[in-house]
Amino acid sequence: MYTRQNQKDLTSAQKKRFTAAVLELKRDGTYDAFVRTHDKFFVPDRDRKLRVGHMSPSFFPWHRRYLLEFEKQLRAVDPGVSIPYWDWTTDTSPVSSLWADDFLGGTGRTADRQVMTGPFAYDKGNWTVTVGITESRFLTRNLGRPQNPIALPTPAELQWAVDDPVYDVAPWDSTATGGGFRNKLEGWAAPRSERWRNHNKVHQWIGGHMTGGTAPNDPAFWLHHAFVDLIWDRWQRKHPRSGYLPAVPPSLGDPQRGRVIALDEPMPPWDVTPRELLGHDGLYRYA
Amino acid sequence: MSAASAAVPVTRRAVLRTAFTAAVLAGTAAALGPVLRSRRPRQTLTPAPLAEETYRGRHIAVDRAGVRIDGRPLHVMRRADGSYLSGVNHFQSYPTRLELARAAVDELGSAQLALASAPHHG
Repeated sequence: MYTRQNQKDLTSAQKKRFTAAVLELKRDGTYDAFVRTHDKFFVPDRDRKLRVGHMSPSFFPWHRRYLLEFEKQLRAVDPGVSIPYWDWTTDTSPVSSLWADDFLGGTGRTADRQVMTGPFAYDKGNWTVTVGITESRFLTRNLGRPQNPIALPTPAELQWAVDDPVYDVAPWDSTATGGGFRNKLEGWAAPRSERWRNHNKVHQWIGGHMTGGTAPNDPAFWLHHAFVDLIWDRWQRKHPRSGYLPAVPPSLGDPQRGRVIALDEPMPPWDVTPRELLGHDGLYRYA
Repeated sequence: MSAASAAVPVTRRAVLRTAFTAAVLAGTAAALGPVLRSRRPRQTLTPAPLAEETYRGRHIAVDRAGVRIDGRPLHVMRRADGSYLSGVNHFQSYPTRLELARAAVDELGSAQLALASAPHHG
């Protein structure tokens, strides 16, 4: 049992140990395998294929297991390390300590969005992007998207998702707008005036690599998704009588049959069911 | 070939002439080759773009085969509501492919898309 801390509470020594472990996984090739996995399992919902990671009910359990796998590798490097979480409703500045030189480094420069500061700056020699869709070998960010400003989700916006007592609704995809905590938090469901909310909006606010399928190229990905994982806990506590949906696979003839994961169906690539990931007692806790 | 050579004695001049003619023909084929090879794909694989524009200094082309930025393919995906996502924008969709391409340019800054085929999903 270990603790995932709020990133703002980490000591300088803890930040150093976290980034050092991440750099070690990058050096030995483990990190880039994780980047490929995320990209491979991004299946858009028009495709008649199984969706596990995004635009589907298993968004939360799939990413929980994905983070656990990454954290296992981190802890093999340094048993004292865990994934910190970033509460993006409170630490909203592009110059907060999260983006300082001694942690994740700051935003990209204007011309090419290249991150120039911190341990993941290309010029430091330890962070070369190998799984990307551009020719650029350096990490990119565009915090706050100054050319078309975007704000991080507000506490009210997050609460709007957490207050929904229904986990997810048919058709179990990005167009599920009849309610549902999952789509409101993943961020496809939103009032017309805003269109994107919560999780999706955070990817856009960071910008650069974070807007694409190879988002985990940016170590900020893990801190963002640790908070998403914590929010799932919050929702469960607020709605103790609600559970993961769909409880059973969609019936024969339902267009979503075979495309979404029900409570007891195995999720690739780990063959683990959402039921097995509903809690994390005995594994880790949030402080 | 060797049987024919043995049956019909040939002069040195005839051999040279034959070799010269073959070389001219081969040279013509070599010269024409690229023309013939390049004409066909241009007609079949690259129809006139449905939309084409220069946006923030980048060339955007949208046609039936897909979207290209400065000639490089942009990986395009669809959402269930019919809107478009790209390899650059996975967490935000756009009603048209032209808007998708502009958004990709906004996000790319000065970066060029990779020439290699876009990553495969699922």
